[in-house]
Amino acid sequence: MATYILRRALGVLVVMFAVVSGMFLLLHVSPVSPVNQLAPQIAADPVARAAFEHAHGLDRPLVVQYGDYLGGLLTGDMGTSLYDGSDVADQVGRALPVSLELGFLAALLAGIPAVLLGTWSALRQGRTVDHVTRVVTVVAMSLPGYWLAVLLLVSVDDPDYLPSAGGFVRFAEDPVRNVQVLLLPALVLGLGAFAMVTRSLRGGLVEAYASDHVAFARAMGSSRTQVLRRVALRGAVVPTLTVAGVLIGGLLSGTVLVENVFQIPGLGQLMVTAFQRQDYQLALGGCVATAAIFLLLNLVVDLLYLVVDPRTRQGLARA
Amino acid sequence: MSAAKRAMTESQPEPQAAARDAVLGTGVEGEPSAAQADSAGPAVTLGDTAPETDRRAAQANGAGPAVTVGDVADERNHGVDPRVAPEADVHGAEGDGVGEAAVARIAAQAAAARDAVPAPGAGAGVSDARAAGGRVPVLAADQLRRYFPVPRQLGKRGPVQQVHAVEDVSFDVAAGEILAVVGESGCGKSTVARMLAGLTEPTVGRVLVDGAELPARRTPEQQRVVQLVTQNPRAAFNRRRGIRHALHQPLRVHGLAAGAREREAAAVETVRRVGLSEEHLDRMPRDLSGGELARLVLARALLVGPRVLVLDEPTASLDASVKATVVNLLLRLRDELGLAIVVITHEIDIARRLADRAAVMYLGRVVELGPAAEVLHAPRHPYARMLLASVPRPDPTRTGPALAADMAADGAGEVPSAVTPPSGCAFHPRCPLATQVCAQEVPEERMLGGVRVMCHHAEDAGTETGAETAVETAVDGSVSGSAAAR
Amino acid sequence: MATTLEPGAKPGTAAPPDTASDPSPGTGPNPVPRTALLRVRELSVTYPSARGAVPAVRGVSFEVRPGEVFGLVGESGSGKSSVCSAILGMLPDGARLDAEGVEFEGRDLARLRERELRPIRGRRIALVPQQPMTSLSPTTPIGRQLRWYLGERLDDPSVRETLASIGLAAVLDRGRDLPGAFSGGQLQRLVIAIAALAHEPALLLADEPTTTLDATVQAQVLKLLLTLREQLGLAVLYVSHDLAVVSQLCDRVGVMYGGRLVETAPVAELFGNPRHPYTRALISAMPAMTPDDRPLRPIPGSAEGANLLPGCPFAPRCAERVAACDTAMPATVRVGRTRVACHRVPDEEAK
Repeated sequence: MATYILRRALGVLVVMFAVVSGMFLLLHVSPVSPVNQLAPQIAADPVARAAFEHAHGLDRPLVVQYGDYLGGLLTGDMGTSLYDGSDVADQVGRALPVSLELGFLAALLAGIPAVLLGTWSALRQGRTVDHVTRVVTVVAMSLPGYWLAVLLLVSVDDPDYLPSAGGFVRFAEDPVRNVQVLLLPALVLGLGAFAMVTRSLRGGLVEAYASDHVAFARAMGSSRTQVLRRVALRGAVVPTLTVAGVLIGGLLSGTVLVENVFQIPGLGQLMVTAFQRQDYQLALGGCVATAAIFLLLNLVVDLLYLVVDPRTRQGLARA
Repeated sequence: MSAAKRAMTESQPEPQAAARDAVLGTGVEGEPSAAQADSAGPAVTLGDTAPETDRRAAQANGAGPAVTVGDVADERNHGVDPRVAPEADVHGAEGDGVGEAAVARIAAQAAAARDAVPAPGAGAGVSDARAAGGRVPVLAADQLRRYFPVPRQLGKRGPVQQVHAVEDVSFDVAAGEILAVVGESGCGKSTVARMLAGLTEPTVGRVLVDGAELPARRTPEQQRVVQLVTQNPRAAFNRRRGIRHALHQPLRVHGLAAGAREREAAAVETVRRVGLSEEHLDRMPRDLSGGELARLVLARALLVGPRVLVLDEPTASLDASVKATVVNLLLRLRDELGLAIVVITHEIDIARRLADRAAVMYLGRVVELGPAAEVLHAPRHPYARMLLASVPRPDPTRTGPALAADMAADGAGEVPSAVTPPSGCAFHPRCPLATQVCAQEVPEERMLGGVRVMCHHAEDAGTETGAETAVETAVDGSVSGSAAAR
Repeated sequence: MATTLEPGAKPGTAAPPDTASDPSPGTGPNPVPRTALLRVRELSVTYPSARGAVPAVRGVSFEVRPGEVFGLVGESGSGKSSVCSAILGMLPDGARLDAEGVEFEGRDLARLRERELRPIRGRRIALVPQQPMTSLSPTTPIGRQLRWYLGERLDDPSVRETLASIGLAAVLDRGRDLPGAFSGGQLQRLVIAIAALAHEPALLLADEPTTTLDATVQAQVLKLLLTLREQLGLAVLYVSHDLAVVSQLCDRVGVMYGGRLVETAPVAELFGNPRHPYTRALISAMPAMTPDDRPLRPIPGSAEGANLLPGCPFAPRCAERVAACDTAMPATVRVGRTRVACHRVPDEEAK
C-alpha cells in the first residue's frame, strides 16, 4: 500500500517535470517576445532592448535558461515577471488560494445538493422527484457557463454579492464578505459538476439497488437505511468518483472564465493577463501551479478508490 | 447404435497410447495402425474413403508429386509444419512405386471428400475405416499447456505467478466420433476448447489435424477445419439481423458460394440438416426458442464444411425438455457427416448420452481418458469417481447415500488453486486413496484396458477400501435407482 | 457430521400459531404435521410490459408443512421464481400480486405492507439466492458482512462451531478478505449459513441455489440444506429446474408450466406414477431415465407463450390433447396423494 502511494507520488513528479519542460520549450520557441509588448520607444531601441533582455537573462542560451528555471523551481523561485519585474512565485502565491477557495466552494455547492438529490431520486426511481431531477440536471448541463455568468451580471444588483471591479475581498480581510463575493461565481462554476454528480450517483445507486447483494440484504430483513448505508452507497460511489476525477479538470479550466467575468484575482485571471502581456515567465508560473494542483487532486481521487473499493487494490497493481 | 455400445465395440483392439505416439510421429516401428499412417502426413481424409491398400498411395500423394494436383489443403499442410514434412517424405519414399495416375485419382477423391459440404458418404467411409479395425484420428491435442500470468497483489514483490490453466493435455478424436471433455469449472476444459479452435495460443504444445500442426493463427482455410460453437446461442446472433443474414455471412466471408442463389441453397440445405425448415431463415433471433437457436448455431458452424466441431457446453443454457433435441441432433450429425466432435460439458448425463470416448479433467490435466462406456460409467480415477457420484440422479427412493460430499474436513471440499497446485497428484488432498507417493510424484499415465488413467493407485482402485465404499454405493445406486424408476 | 446443535431441535418461536388453518380436506396420511406452515392460495403474478400485462403466475395453490422440503420445478419462464419473490413481497416494481391468501404463521403475507414484511424477512422466512458469487457485497470484507447479518450470534461459540462443521472455518479465519477471494461453494454455504443461523427462520426459500455450482459443490450444498433441516427443523421451499436434484432433496414436489401448477405430489409418487402429461414428458426427456439403446425423447415445440394460453398451457405440446384442452384450464383434482390439473386425468381414473 505504502509503496503504491510512493510510486504514484513519484509518477506525479515525473509528469510535473514533463509539463514544465514542455511549457518552457513552447513559450520560448514561440516567435513572439515579451519585448514587443514594452513601450515602443524601448522596443525600438536596440540598446535598451538588449539591456532588457540581459536583465532578464533572455540573451543566454536556452539550455542555460532552462536549467536555471528548473533549479529555481526546486527552491520555490519562479523567476520575475517580464512585465513589471515582480516576483512570480509571490503573484502565484497570492492568486492560488483565491482559486482554490473558489473551486472548493464550487465543489461544496455542487456536491452537497448532488448527493442529496441523487440519492433521493434513486430511492424514488420513476416517480416525480426522479423526473424533475432528470430535467433539472439536463438543463444544468446544457447551460453555457459564460451565458449564465453574463445573465447573473446583468440581473443581480446587489453590491454585496456582485461588487464593482476591484471590489474583491480576501478571506483574511473579511470572511463573510469574501464568501458573499465568491458565491455567484462558485454557483456558475459548480453547476455542471452538480448535474454530472447527481446523475452518476443516481445511476450508480439504481444499479446497486438492482444487484444481487442488495436483494439478499433486503431478503434478510435489512431496513432501507441499512441497505443504503452498508451496500448500495459504496457501490454507487465508485462510478461517481470516476466522474469527479474528470470534473476536476473541468473545474480548473472553468476558473479561467469565471474569474475573468467576475473580476476575481485568482490563478485563472492571472494567467489570462500574463498571456495577454506575453509575460511568459508569469504565464509559466501559472501553468506550473495549475498542473500541480490538477495532478495532486487526481492522485487524491485515485487513492480514494482504494479506500472506497478494496478490489482496486488488486486491479491497480497491474497498472 | 447407442453411444455406449459403439464405444465398447471399437475401443478394445487399439491402445490409446500407441495412437497418441503415432500422432506425434514417434510410433513403434512397423505399427500397422491406421492412426500412424494418418500421423505421417496430410493424407488422413483419405482414410475416410480409401481402403488400406490405397492409403499407401495416398501418403505418396500427400508427400510428393500430388501437390501439383492442386489440393489446397495439402499445400497448406506442407507449408505449415516443417516438423511434419520430413516425416511425410519418408513415407512418401516408401510409396514411390505407385503410378502417377492413381495418385492423381486419389488426390482428387481426397479433395472432393474434404471440400464437400457436407461430405457425401463420409459416414459410410468411417464405417469402412472402423471395419478395417482402427480409429482414424482427425484432431489431436499434443501436450497442450496454457499458463496465464496472475496480476500481482498491490505492493507485493516477487516473480510473476502463473495460473496453470491447462497442464499437458493430449488426446485425439476420430472422424465420426464424439469425445466428451468433462470436469468442473476451472479445470481448464474451456481453455482447451479455445486452443483447439485457435482462439487461444498454447503456451506449449500443438493442435494437429491429420497429423499436421494447425497454428494458433490460422488462415481462413485453416479456420474452417475446426469450428467452435460457444455456450449461449442467443448471444451468438446479431439481434438486429435475421437468421438468413447470419447463415449467409460465413459463406460470404469465406467466399464459399458463387452468388446469392448458391448461398441460399447452402443455407436451406444446412437448416434442414439440423432439423429445421427454410422458413426459419426469415425469422429474427428473438422470435426463436433456445432449442431452435442452438440448432441454428450448429448449422452456421456446419456451413463452412468443418471436419471438427468443438462445442462448449452445448446444452447448458437449454431447458430440460429441449436438451434432448440437441443431443439427438449431434449424434445424427456425427453419423451422417462423419464429423469429429469434441463436446466440453459439465453435464455428466449429457456426456453419457453423447460420447463415444470421454476425458475427465482436473486442475488442467486429463486424469482419465478412454471409451465413454468405461470412463463415464465405471471410472478408475478417484476424482472421476467422486465427480460421477456427485451427480444427482432422478432417484426418489434414495436407496443409496445419494450425496457423497466432502465438506466436513476444513477446506477438503475445495478445489485447490491452479496458481499453486498441490504437489504430486493435484487431487491428493481430496483423495480417499492418497498415500505418500501421491503427494510427492506426479503420477504417470498408465493404460488399464483401453483407458488411460493418471493415478498412482489406478490398479488398486478396483478393490474396495473403506473410504471409497460410499462412492461406490452411490454409483451403484444410480443404476438400480433409474431402473426402479422405470 | 459433528455439530453442536441437537438434531431435530426446533427454535421455540418456530411453533406455528394456532390461527393456522387446517389443510384442505382430503389430504392423505402424512408423516409431517398436518398444519401447513405456508399456504399459498390462488396466487397470481402479472408483470407490466409494452404490450400490456403479462401473466407469470396464474392461480397457483400449494402448501409447505413444517420441516418439509417442498420442491417447485419448472423450466425457464414457468413462473417458479416469481412465486418465491411474491412470498417475500420482493416482486419488482410494477408487478401485480393477486392471491386469495399467502398465509404464513397466521398472517396473510399478500396483504402486508413493506414495513410489516421486513420483520418477517430474514427472521421467519429467509432466502438463499441463486448467485452466491454476487449475493454478498463485493467491496466489504466478509467478516464485517457476517457481523451485519449474524450480529452478536457471531460471537456465540456454538454458531462458530456450526460454521466450522460445514467447512467454513477458513472463512472465519479470513474475515478481512473480500468475497471475491472465496470460491462459489464456500460463498453459497456461507450464504445458506447466514440465512439459516441469523434468526433460525421457520422457512427457507431456496431459489435455484446450486444452478451456478459444480456437481461436487452442489452435492455439498444439498447435503448442507438437509443437515440444517434436520438440526433446525426448518422447512425449505426449493425452486429448481433440475428434476434429479429435486428427487434427491424434496419430500413433495410441485411441477409448474406456463405459470400454472400442473401437478403436486409426494416425490416417490411423482416419479413412480406421474399423472400430468407434462410431468411424464419431462421425466422421460431426462437422459438418465432413458435406456442407453434408445434415443432421447425431447418434448416437441417450446414453452414460449404458454403463459398466455386460455386453456391448459401444455396443450400445444401435448400428445394426449383433447378439444377441451385448448379452451378451458382444467380444474385441479385429487388422485390419491397427487393433485393434478389435466382434462384427461379424471377419464383415466374412471377406467
